[in-house]
Amino acid sequence: MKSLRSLYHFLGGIRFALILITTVALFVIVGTFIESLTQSHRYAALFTYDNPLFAALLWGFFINILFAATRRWPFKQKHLPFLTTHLGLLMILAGVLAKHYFGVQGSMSLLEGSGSQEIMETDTYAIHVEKKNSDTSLCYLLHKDWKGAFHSEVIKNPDDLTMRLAKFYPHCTEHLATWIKGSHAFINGLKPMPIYPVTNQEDELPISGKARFHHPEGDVWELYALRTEDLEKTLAKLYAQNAYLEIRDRFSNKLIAKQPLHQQLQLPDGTLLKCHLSLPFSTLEEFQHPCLTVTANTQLQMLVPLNEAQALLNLNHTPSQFGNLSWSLDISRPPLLAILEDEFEDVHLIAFDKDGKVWSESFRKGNLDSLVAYDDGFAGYTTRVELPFTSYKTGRQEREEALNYQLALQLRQALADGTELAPPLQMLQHACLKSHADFSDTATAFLAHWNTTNSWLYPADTPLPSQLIGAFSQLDWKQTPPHIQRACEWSLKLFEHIHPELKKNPDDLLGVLKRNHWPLIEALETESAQNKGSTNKKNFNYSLLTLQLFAASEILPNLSLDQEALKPEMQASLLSAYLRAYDIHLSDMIQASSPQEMNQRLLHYQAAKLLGAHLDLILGPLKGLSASQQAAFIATLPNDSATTKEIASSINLFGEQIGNPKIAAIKEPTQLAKAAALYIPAPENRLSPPLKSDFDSPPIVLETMIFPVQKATLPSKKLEDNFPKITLHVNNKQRSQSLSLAYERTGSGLKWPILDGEYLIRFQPQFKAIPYRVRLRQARQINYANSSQPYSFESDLIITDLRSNSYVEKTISMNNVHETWDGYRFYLSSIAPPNETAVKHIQIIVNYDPAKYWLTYPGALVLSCGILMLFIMRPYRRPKP
Amino acid sequence: MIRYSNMIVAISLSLILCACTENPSSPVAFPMQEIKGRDYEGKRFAVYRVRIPSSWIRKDPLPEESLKDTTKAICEFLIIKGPETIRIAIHNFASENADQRIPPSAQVARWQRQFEFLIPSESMTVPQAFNGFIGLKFKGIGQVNQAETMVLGWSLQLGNEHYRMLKSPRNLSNSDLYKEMRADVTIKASGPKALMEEKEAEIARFARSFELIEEIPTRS
Repeated sequence: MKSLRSLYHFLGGIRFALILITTVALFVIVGTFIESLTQSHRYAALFTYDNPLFAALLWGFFINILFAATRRWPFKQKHLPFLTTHLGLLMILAGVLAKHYFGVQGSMSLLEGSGSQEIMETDTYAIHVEKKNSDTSLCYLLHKDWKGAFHSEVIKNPDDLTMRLAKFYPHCTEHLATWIKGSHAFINGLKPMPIYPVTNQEDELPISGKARFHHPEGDVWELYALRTEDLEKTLAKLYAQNAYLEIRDRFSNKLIAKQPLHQQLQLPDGTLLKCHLSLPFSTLEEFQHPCLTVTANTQLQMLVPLNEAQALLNLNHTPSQFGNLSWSLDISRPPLLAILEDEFEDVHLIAFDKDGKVWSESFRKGNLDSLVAYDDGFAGYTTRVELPFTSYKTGRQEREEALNYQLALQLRQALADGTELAPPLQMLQHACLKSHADFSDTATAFLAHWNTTNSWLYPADTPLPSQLIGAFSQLDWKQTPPHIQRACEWSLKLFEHIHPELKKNPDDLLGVLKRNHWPLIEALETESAQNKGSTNKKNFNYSLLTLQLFAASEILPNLSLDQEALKPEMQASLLSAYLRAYDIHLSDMIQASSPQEMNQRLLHYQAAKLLGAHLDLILGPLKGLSASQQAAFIATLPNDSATTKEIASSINLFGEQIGNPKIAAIKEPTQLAKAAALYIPAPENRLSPPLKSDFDSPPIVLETMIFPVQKATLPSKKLEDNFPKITLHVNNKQRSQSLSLAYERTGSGLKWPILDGEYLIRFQPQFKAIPYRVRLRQARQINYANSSQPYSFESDLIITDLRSNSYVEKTISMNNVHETWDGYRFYLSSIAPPNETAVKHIQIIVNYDPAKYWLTYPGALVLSCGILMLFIMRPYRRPKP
Repeated sequence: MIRYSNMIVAISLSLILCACTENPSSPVAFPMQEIKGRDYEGKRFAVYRVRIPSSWIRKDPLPEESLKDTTKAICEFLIIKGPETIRIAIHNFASENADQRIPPSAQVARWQRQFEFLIPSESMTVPQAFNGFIGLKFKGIGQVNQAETMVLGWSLQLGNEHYRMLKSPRNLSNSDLYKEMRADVTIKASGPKALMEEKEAEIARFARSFELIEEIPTRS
């Protein structure tokens, strides 16, 4: 009895209170050091506030205060302030303990427009299981022991699914395995391909397989699966392997030379024609301006981009307004698809088409641009890529022709709309009318032909193609003002005179003019200096000189050329000078701004080629006539004739192929004639059309299954950075399986199929329903005026009490918390993205203290009253002597 | 004296602590009104709601009038001041698949083409994201029908994640409503420049309060 009494007095005494206070102080000191050393709040919290010993200390305080009060028994009036103070303290402590055991602390993720009533409880670990064809999902909480490891427990769910926790790792890294899994590369529908390591870049790279993609008669693609430490070298080796360089004469299109690319690349510097392949590749940016450059006698001549809008076009490195060189350069190779894994285990899909265009897509650490879920994930997930290669030809020649066709279309549209043409084009139009030639075809053919001469004006000694002779013989300069004629003639004479010097160095126009005592050189130099920063400086000087000649044409003496006796080539040369005065040259007129636009033009052109070939076949005797002539005949056809129907069918097919529903639906001969006049390409472009099946072929879409791969690693001291990994044995009546799962901290990642797709499973925090549904209307970051610095973050919410079905509309912000009548508090934690480029996602911290209103706050009030009473009543004041 | 100084300290401390509280921008006071979508197999669901200022005149299509033609607005509003009128039209464009959706930039390009002359320096297109929609806001000042006109337009579509949820919902019983919910939306206000500039903030508040009545479902 005595010892009980001593224990009672000890528990209610000052010594016990001091022990408790000292212990708590030590806890907090150590906790502060832990947080400072590990940078981990969670680590410190686990040691202090979340430690069971800390809860015991709180109980100790409760007992100490309770016994300290009861020790005063029997109570007297003077004990009232003391008792009130202690009652307040007890109420506060009871509130703290009630919150510790029954409170809620978690976070809620919301997207604008959606809502939730579930919060994610921090530091909880659960297995989420969903059964196929069932609306319900179950969550099984995993318990940790005092060392922080999970209990090896067996979980059974009502469907006889049994899960046994086999292993636990405190930390792991996880990535998604995509195209390469272990020692093989996988493409759905193809045999797994063995991966070969690239050890020596000099050796021929081994092929892993072959496949046809577009259709059974399509090209055979070479498939490679390689593991390499030097991506760029491997890519260059792959590109050069089996590729050929073809050099053609632009006028006759005859093949001059065909050499293996790897041989051409190995030629020493200073060789007549030296090629250099540049395939810069980085994991983040992928291919960066890959190109083939050609130098002749150490001087850069030509650049061939291998991707983007200008892919495969032969870009002349002399002033681009001079057009192309007299020869063209093409690459031919078997199409190739390579799956490459680099030293960082990033996977890259690389493709080279048969014309040498390059394409790539990188899967860095399994980061995916596309994810396909089959049967909501129960049948697994795949990632997918679409190769941007078509079944019809898209080589250099087709690209150039497609661009020219686009120009012809623009001219035809301009004529149809009655748009006024530039005077030199009007002159050519009149000549075409006289010679019964199609104006748009003639103009385009001339501009294309001039573009291959690599000179500022059309050289009078270069023969014109036969289809242009008629029109250029009919050019009538009488309608043109005499001073314009003089300017054209003088332009011709001047450029003829300086051409030999210019040919040596086309960039040095001003120098050449100076040496030839050009009287207006000072004005040219001044203008040139003013445009020093301009990227088009070289061309600018040529344009300026042409304009000078035209400006001075009134005072120039007459050269007295007999216009009527001039050869068509000379006429063409004069017209080119006139066209230059209006900045009309092929290089100024047609450019595709993006790869998509170029692809669209190619599709349009190839479909038009097919249409032209179809109409040639239908119209029989009119085969090879110009679009306007064929259109004139179509307009005379009766509505219901078989020929009209055949033509309508071809034009409708063209409309479908280019995705134009209006053209796909026209039936009337007049409308058909209009469409034919606009879209049929020039007769020489109707040869070797693509097949109809080329347009029907589906795009090349490659898919591969994805699954997670985890690697257990040493845990970090900063617990927030750790992702635990568990290994589970799962089985039901029919099947069993072992699998590893990494912790999905946000509970929003993929759920993985198990037991042949009967269940989905995810290792995640525990979600807990609260009696409030929160819907996010909109979230916003408010910046300081004229700044991108945030001033405040706000979110408009609708908070519905599910018990009473009543709701409030509330805007919460950084320092503006919403608190419900029963103690749920909603804090805005984060908003992403901070701008208006995507649907915003917010994180709300939800906190619930069940005893706040009936223990903690009243306790604080009672305590305050007790302290006040201590001051007022002064119960322990010694009476004055 | 000491008693008073303690009180002053206590009051000052209270004032300082009170100053930490910051009130968010006050929400718009007008009540929400519901807007019905287009006909779907004989049904017309109330799909949207928006805060409409009390001075605006609302014009709903007649119940017997078919709204299958997407050039017809699902709801119109008029702001009349003297002889001048601002017309605000809401259109929606349902789609079966994500690739059928009209890019917001295409709608903006169409609005730009409606001008006979557009003043580039006074026109702008900015991204928008609110209430689950993302898209573009267009402001254009120029000439339409030979009159100085200002257009404010919002071309909106649901975020991809929301679209996917409404495209393949777990609860198939609401699939008709979900098709309407995932439709692209345009809100276009046009009228005389002076009146539009006066009402610009009001129209912007109206547009940004536009939302779906039903919450977009999510998957845990």
